[in-house]
Amino acid sequence: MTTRLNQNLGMVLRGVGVSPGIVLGVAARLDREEVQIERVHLPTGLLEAEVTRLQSAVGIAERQIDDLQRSLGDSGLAEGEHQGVLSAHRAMLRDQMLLGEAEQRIRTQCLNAEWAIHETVLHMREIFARMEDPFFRERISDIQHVAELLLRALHGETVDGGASMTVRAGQVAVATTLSPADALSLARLPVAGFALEEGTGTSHTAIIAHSLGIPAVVGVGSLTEHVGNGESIIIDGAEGEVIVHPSQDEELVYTRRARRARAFLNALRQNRQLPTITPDGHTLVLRGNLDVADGFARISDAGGTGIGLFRTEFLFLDRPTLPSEDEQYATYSQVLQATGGEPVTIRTLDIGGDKLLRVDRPEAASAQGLRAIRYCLRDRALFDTQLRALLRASVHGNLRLLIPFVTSLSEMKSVRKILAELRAQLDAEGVPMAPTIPLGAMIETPAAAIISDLLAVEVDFLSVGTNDLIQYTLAISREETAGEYLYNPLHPAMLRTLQMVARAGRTARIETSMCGEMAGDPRYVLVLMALGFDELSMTASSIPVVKEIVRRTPRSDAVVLLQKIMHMTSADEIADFVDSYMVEHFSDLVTPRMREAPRYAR
Amino acid sequence: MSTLERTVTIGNSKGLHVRAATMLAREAGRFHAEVTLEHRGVQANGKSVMNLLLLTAAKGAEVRVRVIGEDAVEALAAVVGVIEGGFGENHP
Repeated sequence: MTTRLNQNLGMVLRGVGVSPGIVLGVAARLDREEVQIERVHLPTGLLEAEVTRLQSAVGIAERQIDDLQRSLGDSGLAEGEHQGVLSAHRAMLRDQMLLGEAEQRIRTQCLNAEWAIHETVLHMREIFARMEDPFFRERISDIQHVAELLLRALHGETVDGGASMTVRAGQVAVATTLSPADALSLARLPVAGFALEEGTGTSHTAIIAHSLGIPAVVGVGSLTEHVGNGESIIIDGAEGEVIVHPSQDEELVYTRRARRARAFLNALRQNRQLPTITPDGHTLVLRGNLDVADGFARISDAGGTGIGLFRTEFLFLDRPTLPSEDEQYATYSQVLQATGGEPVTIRTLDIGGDKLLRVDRPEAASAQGLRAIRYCLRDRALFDTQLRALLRASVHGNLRLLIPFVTSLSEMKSVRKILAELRAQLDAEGVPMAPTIPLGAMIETPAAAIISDLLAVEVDFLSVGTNDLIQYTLAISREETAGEYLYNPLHPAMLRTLQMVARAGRTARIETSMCGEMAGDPRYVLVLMALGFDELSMTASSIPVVKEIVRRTPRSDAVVLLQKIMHMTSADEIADFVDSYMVEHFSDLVTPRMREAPRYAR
Repeated sequence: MSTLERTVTIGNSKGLHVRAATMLAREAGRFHAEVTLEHRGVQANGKSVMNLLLLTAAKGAEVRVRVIGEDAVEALAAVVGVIEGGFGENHP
């Protein structure tokens, strides 16, 4: 399977993605010839006429920019940052540093207008090259573009040099670099995307493409060497990839990615500010998963509320010493403050097994199964430090504490006892804390699921981690490719397990949430809603589509769907049924499953 | 003929960049007065976009504005106004 896929793959070139979106299309090469100029020594009698020639070229270039701006307005591209660029260049045509200097060079050095401009720009290039700030240093490109406008006007060419004439709408413009005028006239066609060999995130084509929503990748080394005119090409403006002459498999994968990207954007446009509520009035809470301190903006931008899973491992991994209580306190406080009072579920350290500390700890030997809470209860110095930091941070927001890899009730009782001790300590030190902090058990082992009714009495909420739960329940490893077909979150065993957990939560009148990968897959959201999950936590990019599905489906429909699949006996039958149901009802949001495809392609 | 001076801080996020410099030069160009900006020992003609770029005045830079001419009062007020208005950029 893998070998077949590796044959005849397209060539992947990497650059900087500056405007998101995926395009599968045909490359149109734009190779503008440089204006050929030569040095001419003029007799003194002709110098004033040459100055006049330069000035009238300025007038011509100005009119051409005006025409371009007008035609952009006619194409509905009148607003935005790109127009500012054109106005700036128009103003720069008469800049003293350019025009004044060039005129002076004509008069004093008896030069032709072209060479006078050439030398003026060379001089300015030297000055800009000495700048320390790369942001300003790159602005020499503006001056070069303006000079080129003048040179083309002197030669009787138009500003957009006929760029738009050789390229057709829907093609991908491929070039070494583009002037703003070229980029804008291509955007007007419109082209489907831009791929440039040069440039950075602040170059004009990047700004223009981004402000007009056209996918673009810039800074793609050796691009023009590998992409011929008319060649098929894929560009991924989010990842910064260009795939030249893609294989069928790659076309399939990227078509699916493009569909998902479109679904995301469409859903986001429709529901970012709206609540996650079904037409029959059932509310679901969608939160974001996070494992860095400053990522909440992405979650709220996607329309999520609060953080359903904040992983703390990043604070501990890949470093020679443990983070101090104060360092942890600062991080937790930052996260709690970011959400503006929305709940933040912070999971205590999930270490051990395959995730190991570099720090030398007495208990850190990679004993099989000594992971997460099991490890933390053995390494009290480490655990107490984290809990103290969390207790101290609790005054800064709405903290909920989640304990990973729970397998027995005694573990939760121990955590409660430790928390009470630490709270008393901190109280004695006069440290302020939130009066109550909900404590939750993560359900990610079959043991925890089976005793979820017992756990539910002891804790304030349950949160299902599906990645491990599926692996342990179905006895498969996610890394094994042989197990791909076995990895099915809708396996009857999984459905029954999830149902049991949701019931346990409901009986104990506590919240039941899910924070694994399954929660963010749009195909499963109706099933999870019908099972009775109150809260789903996922990566930010999954939120809009999941929310849109909830907003369009009465809960009663979801319950009927669940009843149907609960009567089915085969995992494949259930997966196929749910898949076709979701594709049929949400063809704009859900991408059909590819049963035989490798996992990355689904 | 009067000379006026004022120090202002560049407050917009992109600093005195192409678009901002264009706005400033356009504003300065409306007056007869000579407008000079100075930042870290570099001087620039306030009416030249390219010259203003050479200041490399990023966000937070302190810039000395000097205006000489009959309409100096109005020119200074206009130029300082554009800078302090953040060049019309939205402040996040």
